[in-house]
Amino acid sequence: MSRGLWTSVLGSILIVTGVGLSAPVVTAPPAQAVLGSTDSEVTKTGSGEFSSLKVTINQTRNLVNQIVRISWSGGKPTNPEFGNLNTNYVQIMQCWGGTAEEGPPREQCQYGTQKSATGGQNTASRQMTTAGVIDPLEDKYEEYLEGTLSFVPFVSWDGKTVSGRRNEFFNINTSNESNHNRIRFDGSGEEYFEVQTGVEAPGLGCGQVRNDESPLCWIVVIPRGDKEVDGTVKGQTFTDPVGTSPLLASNWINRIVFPLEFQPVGQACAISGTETPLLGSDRVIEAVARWQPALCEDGGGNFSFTVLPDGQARSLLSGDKPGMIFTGYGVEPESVPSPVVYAPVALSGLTIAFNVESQTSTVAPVDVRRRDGQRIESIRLNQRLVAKLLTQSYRYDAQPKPDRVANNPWDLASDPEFVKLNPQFAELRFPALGHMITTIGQTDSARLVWDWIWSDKEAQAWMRGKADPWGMVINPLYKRASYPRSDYPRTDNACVTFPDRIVELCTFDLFPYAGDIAAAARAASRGDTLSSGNYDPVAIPPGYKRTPPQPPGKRAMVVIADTPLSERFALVPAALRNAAGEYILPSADSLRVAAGKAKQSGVDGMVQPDPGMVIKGAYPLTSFTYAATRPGALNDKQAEEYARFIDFAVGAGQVIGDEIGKLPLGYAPLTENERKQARSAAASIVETAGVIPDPTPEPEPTEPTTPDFGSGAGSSGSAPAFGGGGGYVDSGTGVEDGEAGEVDAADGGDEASPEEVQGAIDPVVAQAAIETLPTPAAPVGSIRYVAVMLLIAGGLALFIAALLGRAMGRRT
Amino acid sequence: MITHIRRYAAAVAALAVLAPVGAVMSTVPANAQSYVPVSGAGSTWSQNAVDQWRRNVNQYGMRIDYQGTGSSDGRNQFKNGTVDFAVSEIPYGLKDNNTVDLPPQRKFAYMPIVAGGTAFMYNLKIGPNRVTQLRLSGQTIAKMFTGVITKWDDPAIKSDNPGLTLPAIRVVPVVRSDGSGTTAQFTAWLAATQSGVWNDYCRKVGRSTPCGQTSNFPTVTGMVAQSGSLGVSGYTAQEQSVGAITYVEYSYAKNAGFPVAKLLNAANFYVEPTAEAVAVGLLGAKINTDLSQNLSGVYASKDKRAYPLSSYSYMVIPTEVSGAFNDDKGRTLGDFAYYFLCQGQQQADALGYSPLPLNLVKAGFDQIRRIPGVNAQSINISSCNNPTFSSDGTNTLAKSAPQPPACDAKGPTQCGTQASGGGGSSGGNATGGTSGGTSGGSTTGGGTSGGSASGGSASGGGSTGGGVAETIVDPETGEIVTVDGGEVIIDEATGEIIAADGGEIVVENGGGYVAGVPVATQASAGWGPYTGLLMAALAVLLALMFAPPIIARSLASRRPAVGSTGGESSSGGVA
Repeated sequence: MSRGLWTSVLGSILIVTGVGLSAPVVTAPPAQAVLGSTDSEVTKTGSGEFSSLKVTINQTRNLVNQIVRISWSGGKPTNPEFGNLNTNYVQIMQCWGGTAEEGPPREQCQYGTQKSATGGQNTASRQMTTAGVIDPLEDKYEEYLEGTLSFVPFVSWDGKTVSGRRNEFFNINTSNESNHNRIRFDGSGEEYFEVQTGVEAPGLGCGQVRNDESPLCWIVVIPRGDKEVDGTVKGQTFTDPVGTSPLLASNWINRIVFPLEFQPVGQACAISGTETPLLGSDRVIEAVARWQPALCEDGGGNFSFTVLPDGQARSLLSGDKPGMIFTGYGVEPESVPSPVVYAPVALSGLTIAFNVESQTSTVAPVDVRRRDGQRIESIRLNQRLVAKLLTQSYRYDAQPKPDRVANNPWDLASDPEFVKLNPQFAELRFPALGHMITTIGQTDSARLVWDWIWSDKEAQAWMRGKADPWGMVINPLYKRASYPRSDYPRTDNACVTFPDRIVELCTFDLFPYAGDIAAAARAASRGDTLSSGNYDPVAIPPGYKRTPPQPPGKRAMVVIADTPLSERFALVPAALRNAAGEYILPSADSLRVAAGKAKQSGVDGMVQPDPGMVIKGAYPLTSFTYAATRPGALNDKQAEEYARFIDFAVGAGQVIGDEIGKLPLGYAPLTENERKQARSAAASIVETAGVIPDPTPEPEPTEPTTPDFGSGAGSSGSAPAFGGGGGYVDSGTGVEDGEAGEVDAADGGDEASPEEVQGAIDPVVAQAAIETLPTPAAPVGSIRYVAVMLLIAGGLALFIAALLGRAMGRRT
Repeated sequence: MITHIRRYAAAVAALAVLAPVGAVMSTVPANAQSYVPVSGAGSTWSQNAVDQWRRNVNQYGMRIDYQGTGSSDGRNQFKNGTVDFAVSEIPYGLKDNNTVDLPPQRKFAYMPIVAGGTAFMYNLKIGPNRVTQLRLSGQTIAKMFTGVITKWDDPAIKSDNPGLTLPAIRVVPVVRSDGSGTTAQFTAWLAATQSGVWNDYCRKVGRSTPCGQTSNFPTVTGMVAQSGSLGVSGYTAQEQSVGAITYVEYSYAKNAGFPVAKLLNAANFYVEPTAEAVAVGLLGAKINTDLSQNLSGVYASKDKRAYPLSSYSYMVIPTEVSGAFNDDKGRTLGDFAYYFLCQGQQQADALGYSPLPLNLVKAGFDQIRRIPGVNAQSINISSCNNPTFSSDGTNTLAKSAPQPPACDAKGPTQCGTQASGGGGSSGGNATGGTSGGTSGGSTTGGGTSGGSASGGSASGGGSTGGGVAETIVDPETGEIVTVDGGEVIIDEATGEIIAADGGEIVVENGGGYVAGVPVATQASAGWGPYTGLLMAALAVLLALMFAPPIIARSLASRRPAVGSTGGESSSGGVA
């Protein structure tokens, strides 16, 4: 997998736009490495006792705030092989200044915030004094004294010196230091390291310019052996780590330094004037963030982006301040006072994204255990496995009281279906890989996931209650829910008060929602489960506090994200089974293949891929995101700004790149046809701004009609593609609406006409019901079916009575 | 040159990177100093707004980190110096359950950041229909959250809702388990307006009285406690949480697509926490000199349009350089604050907040100027693009706020129900699928929440049920357990999926409740009514084939249990 997967379809676009891309087209993706090598890859060798250690950084030039891959070989394996790191490991930090020959001084390195606690006492600290250990090479103990302890001070790029435990330039939340990195049994290892510009790390100033000068910037790697600075050999017992800071002279001397070159950090937009509002889907967070600072260039105005669930965003279109929204689907022409214009602005994929590092129990074979902490870079999932993850059907996911799924596997890694598909998990054991972080609210993304699951016969049968071949069944609380739907329910909730505690622990404490998919992806990258499962008995009052992030090497996270967020946060997207039965990774090609067969979604000009359609090579969770506005409610200035946004988004904004204004990796560039469509939408926004068409009498709809794709905006009576009433057009909560999906007789009941109710129940109440209920969508239709429904109802009642009776009989 | 371009080359923060140094933009600000990262922690009440702001200021080169860990934790972190700012609904120094939350040693100030309504999001169904027009008085709410009212068909709720036939299911109050500013807001209101009920409750749970406001809601059996705003809203939004009600900032209910109760104000109108209603309510707020709020005038506002539980959230900002806080951070924080007090307030309404009015923004400006290192000349009211500002100094939003419809007045009418006085019953003629029908004739902002909140299937109320779905709450877990004989027995006895499904759904939806609520028209399910009818017809066929012999046998052996529960059902007539 490489960036090539996102750029390979670029060729045609480049010709069209005439914008050159410095990167040659990639022909074959690199085999295993998630971050492939670049032309600025650098390998260096250690010195002294580390002279066999080779460290490679995949990219050292043209850097922005991004992830680089740092890998090593030829090291002595970390001791012990599992658990805490006592001896033989690698520490990594970013520094500034110094000279090209010598590298940076230790006082100019961003390090020492105790980010990780898996090493010795001061190995993640700037503290020089460690329990009486004296470094013979160190001459600054006195000079750097702070109170009774010595700390290596930090000198910032703008010349300020700060000392002590805490400083104003970086802290545990902002520092990119990587404290303890394992050297595997074969001497190798790797780390995905975030390089920071001066915007993220103002103390270093990388990429920033002052007085026509930018600082030299470095990655410094410090290997640690088994000797303490005073010569003592450590690691003799299980709790005997080297304990000193890597900044201490005798440790610092072993450093391996890599010069970095950053792209200059550009000028940001100015805060002034007004922002033009954009609202809606979280699927364009990455793109909009990249486009915003380019849109203000040359005196252009600023845009704000307010992320809202799709359904909520669509409801704005009928109001008098529609703004411009991002959405996957449209609204019914009849539901808005004037026509809505849609422009495709992005094509991306939803991902089931993992951040999982190999973990084992003590009984695993040694060769498997030696892979502990290694990132797992290839995972396959089918529809049923994702259904399991979304229905609290693993025991872990129904904690703290998983009674309803007591006979199901603990988590994904212990599910034989998953292991069969992913044999690399066969010997692995995780504390928990059984909960997928999802988002709250009604989203088109959720709808896409459920459509994909529901389109698969096996997954659907499983959701209806059929066991999988290994006997795993759906959590019964989900069997009755309606599918497909456009949210991610969390139905099996319980609270437990453990004997020694006074506060309950509830399912939602352990498995809360994320606010949006960006929050979910960020959480996954940090190993942050978002849980509040850490009991603090001494707090006032005692209670459950936030669970700390999983330590590096022990992460086991799975979230629903999307392709650009997976790229940005270096998550591993699963290869998903499509309707053709293939396991497909998201890439520009596989998204494009799916998009090529997109179907009308019920609103003129809007198409979406169908995850249930058999298309070879298609990534199943592919979707377009549209910009939509109602020009009739806009003034000329707003209309021009929105048109400018769309023109930019489908112009310069469709060229993949890291710079501002470019399309982030993870989106597949739009085709010329799609761009043309968007541009014409932009033109029509300007043309029809403020124009409210004459109200035309709306024919009273009688019942849902068959899909009519040809109807344009403003026409009525067309029902979209997905059956029922509004189809995919704004579908409300979906809580009830899909009961039809779950089957059956219930529909008979639900659609009972008022007349029928009247016959059945207290007339006063029934009368109330008649007056209360708004006209059903198909008033004529339902009356027509009264007889049928009465029959159904009667039959069912009989049937149930019989079953009940029989069962009761058995019980007694 | 083999260039396996890095796969993750996307900028980690997707930032401003311009290629050549010379390419200077025309929009370079006069003080083109770069910003430094600033971090904060605290309130989830206002987190939906804070998160949007910090996302947007990326384009201005700012990196603002914010952890929504609850107000209490935010105040603690600020006190300990681990964050540069905190966000909280209440100030330091308040006594909470006999413990005083001492202020930090470092100098600080309070600055209002966004207003909003603490809303009562609920999950209530009558039969298969989601209730979206619920109205509650302050006293009713107080009693619901203190265990005095335990059933939804309580006469007090009934008297608030003459148009609804409320079900006899448990009220499940969902409260915050973590130290929360939302809880503090809610309990301050309880203490001020419902002191009798509130103090009785405090006495019952062993807190000293008068117990005033607290960040930690005392719980009793039958309540559910969840962590964070997403925790309480997420829990309440689940299908199995029917009967639940929680207090949470309106934004969370909107995001979850759930309705919130209209709260009775002092002018005897039931009002939703829309941006306008909150703006009107806050006209009654008195600002203390430290900018903490005195809300008694809000609670008691006689304006018909006012939402009584309106309030605002503060940022706790440092006013001196100390610890890890320096002038550069002060300059960044100051510009960030200027941004969100002005332009950022434009986002408030869509999110479910209410933009801060002029007086609070001005007061906020005074506080920003106290931040060390701040770029004071940029703090300028004339260039402040806040949506509430008007040329004459009044609050545009409050001025243009619509009057509530007559059917929202306390009394025998109720918007959107049969007792709506004609206003609400005609909303449903929308074409199939949209949720346009839900808000009926209401002219308040009801459509925004009501509209998206429902979308359920059209229904005439359950008519076919074979049993009553009795919802009970597990006393140990607080979990709602739906005991519907049909499901359990069918599952155990036959394991037949189709039969079980049919049974479940009929029992679930066909209970004895009758709709007294407006519902959306037939929603846009993935399956139209035809599929359902086909399946239903199949079920009938099966039933007709198998039922007679079976029922004969069972009748012979024992009267079916369904009779005892089904007898209560008003729907037994069909059978």
